[in-house]
Amino acid sequence: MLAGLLEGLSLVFQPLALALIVFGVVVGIVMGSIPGMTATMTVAVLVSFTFGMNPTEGMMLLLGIYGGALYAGSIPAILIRTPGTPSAAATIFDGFPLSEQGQAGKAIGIATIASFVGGAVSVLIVTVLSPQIANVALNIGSPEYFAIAFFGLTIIASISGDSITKGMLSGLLGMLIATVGLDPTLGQPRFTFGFPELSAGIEFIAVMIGLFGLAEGVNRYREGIGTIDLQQDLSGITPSRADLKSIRNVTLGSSVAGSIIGSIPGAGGDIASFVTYNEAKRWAKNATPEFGSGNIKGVAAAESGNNSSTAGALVPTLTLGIPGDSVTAILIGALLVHGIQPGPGLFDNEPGLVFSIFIGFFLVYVVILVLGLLGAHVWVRVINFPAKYLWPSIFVLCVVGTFALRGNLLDMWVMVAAGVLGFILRMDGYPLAPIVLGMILGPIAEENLRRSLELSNGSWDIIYTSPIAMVILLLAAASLVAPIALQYRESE
Amino acid sequence: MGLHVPHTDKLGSILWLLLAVGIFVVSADLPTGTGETGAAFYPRVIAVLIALFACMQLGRSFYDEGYQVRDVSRQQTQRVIAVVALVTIYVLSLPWFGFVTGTVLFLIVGMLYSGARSPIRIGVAALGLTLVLYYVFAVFLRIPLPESPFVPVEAALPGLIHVGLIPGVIG
Repeated sequence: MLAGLLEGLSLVFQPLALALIVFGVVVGIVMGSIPGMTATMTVAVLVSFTFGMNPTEGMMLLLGIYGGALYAGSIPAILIRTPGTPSAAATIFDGFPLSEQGQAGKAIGIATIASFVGGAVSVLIVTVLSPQIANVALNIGSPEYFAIAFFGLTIIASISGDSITKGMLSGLLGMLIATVGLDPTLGQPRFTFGFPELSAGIEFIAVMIGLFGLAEGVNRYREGIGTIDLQQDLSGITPSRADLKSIRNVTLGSSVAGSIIGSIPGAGGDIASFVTYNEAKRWAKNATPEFGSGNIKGVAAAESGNNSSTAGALVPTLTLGIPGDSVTAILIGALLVHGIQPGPGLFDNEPGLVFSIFIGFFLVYVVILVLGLLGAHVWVRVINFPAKYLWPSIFVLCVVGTFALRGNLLDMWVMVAAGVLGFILRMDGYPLAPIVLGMILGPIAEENLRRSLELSNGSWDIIYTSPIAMVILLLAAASLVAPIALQYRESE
Repeated sequence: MGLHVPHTDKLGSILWLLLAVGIFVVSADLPTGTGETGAAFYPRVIAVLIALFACMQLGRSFYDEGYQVRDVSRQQTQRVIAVVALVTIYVLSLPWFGFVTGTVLFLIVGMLYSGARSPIRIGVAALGLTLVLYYVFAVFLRIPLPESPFVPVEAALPGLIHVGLIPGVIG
């Protein structure tokens, strides 16, 4: 571990890597400050910039964008009651009332400090825990790995939308798309319909860009792209010592809770922030002012909760190769472009890269703290950026980013098709995140299921005679049945 | 006239069921490989699961009729079609016009359609973004972008590519 840590330090503390962290955070904050620009979309449309870099540099840029965008979602949430990203929705509850009371600067200052603490605490937790989890994961076999992939899909489907059936259908569609190309065991072409380009499979990142970039843009035009005219001056951004003391416990508690929630596949910053906000509200009896009317503890709980979920999401991503949320799914895609397979073997094969991710992510939050406090006046102005110039530019980034993947036109058509499909599915209430997660989990599930069946000469006994696999599959079944039962009970 | 789509869950479930059937039909041509785990095995497992969840959704749609109608106004339909058409034409134009010309044209039309009216701002934004992306991808990251066989703007671009910093990357 120490050797990996030292190697990671040497990789991160290079001028270009450090510059990419700062640049990534700036880009992330700018994009995240604009309402409707989610962290997932920002990372998806900008991932192509990393293709020409080495893996560490690419990760530094993407982590900077990820952290910056997630943090910046709080700025429009506080100022105009519109979360920049879904993760900042809970920040509105107390952030906007503070803004109405003329204390927007204080709210942004608290959000910045809480985001830093949340991110930093979760990175520390993840750095200590991940190698241990990866060690355990190294010893599990194909049946257990198949069960984990299936569990990942069911839990993602069950928490990512109002309808579990729609979530599962989205996930299965992603798994189906991933079967296009050469069969991983026998190398036979599958669903290529005579197109040789399809033998290499459908490019995951092209689908991602279509689903989260193009589909979001088309939806924005459907709703009508408006303009925002915000004229607000900020003052008192740096929190006082008394304010820091009052949010200390709630920030630390929410940071730990957010890290744990973030490590559950599919449970991203939005779920983490609502849970930590509600818990903070429950624990703070007779709070003055009340939660929901401008209590800084509410802002701190929501922001530390959602920012701590980011590093938490790296746990299943790096240790099992199973994405913790849709942004980490893109990170997996970016690593795969560089020929690096995330999973338990990553800690043995690329210890320097793994620790550079942890160290880099910690530095991302340091940069967020500095830029957040010093540049708040600037970020506030970004909210006014006119959508009429922004969205056509986003579409160009979608197209050029997709072309940059492999330099072929097919990927661009895949992106357009995914965008149109994503728009239609979204209109009909299907969550999009399970599609991309299904595309990642599908090949893992297939490879391990088929390997298991080959080991057992085609007998499914190998799955249900493994106690670990059985427990995980039961958890998968529970994650599907429990929400259905709850919905039924509520309707009764 | 807008779009009025009733019974969306029923319609959706039927489409999912057709997809499941389609997977079985298309995978019939796949070599079965050795044992039960040939190339067709896994897609068929997925097809069965799709059919299962589609049936669940279809069943539910009969007793839960709420939120199963989609109404999209004429204006919204026009905006969606226009944006998808613009992007499609942009992708189609790239092999012919090349990245620089195609992107500048797309940005000008896209910004005008989105409500921008200042020719100077549109021109600066369109040309500025195109050149920044061109230099970042083609020169700095060394990722070639589409070039036009008819309008070779890329070759005429001044700067880094012609001072021999990145020989052989473009053109």
